[in-house]
Amino acid sequence: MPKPKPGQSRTVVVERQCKPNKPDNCPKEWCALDGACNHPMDPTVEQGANSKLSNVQHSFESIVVKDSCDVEVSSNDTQAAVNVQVALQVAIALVISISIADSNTANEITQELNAKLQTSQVNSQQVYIQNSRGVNITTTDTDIAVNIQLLLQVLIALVLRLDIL
Amino acid sequence: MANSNSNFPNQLVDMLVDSTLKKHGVSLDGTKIDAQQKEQLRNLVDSLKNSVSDLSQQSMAKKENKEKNDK
Repeated sequence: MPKPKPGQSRTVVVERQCKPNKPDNCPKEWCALDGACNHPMDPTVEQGANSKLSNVQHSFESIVVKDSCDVEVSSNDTQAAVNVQVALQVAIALVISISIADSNTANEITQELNAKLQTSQVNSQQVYIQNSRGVNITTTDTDIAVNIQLLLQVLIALVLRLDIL
Repeated sequence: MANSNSNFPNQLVDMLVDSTLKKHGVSLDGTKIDAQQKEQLRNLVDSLKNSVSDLSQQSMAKKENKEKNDK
């Protein structure tokens, strides 16, 4: 394709199409036009094991400052809880895997426990400042997923059964 | 068995763990784990306990500050 001259703009149109020649081992997106594609909701499609381990924690924060001056905004988004949550899940999986010889059974038990403990949390904060002067705003998202406590209790229950504590 | 003073009844957690293990026909056997692994697991659990406790305290303190500032 020739290079555009200065001042000229170039429009590139990319037509979305299925790529049936993609290798089988490469994950591909579902395409309605491809008759060979199984729909993701089709029960014959194998679901990954991690689909059961979904914990959702989102924070949405929106701060709008309009026609204002001397506005100071400080925002703390506490997502440290997510790290602890993952650490607890890993610890539960670890305890189960080293205390049960059959790895398949250990995986099934870990997945089942995590599936029962899954939770979702969505935090939403919106701040709108208009025609203001000398405003200090501090927003803090301190809502920690409740299931951290529950995960810790499950971990303690497991290690107590192993006479570790 | 679980001896934690948090929001969830211990009975609930014990039932959850017991029923899941029973369903798969297994029981946790502490004799398979050697002393070194037990010590490591004990340290891991203590560390996680402290992390959860710190997070809870931070959260409480921030909420209290926020409520004071709102008043």
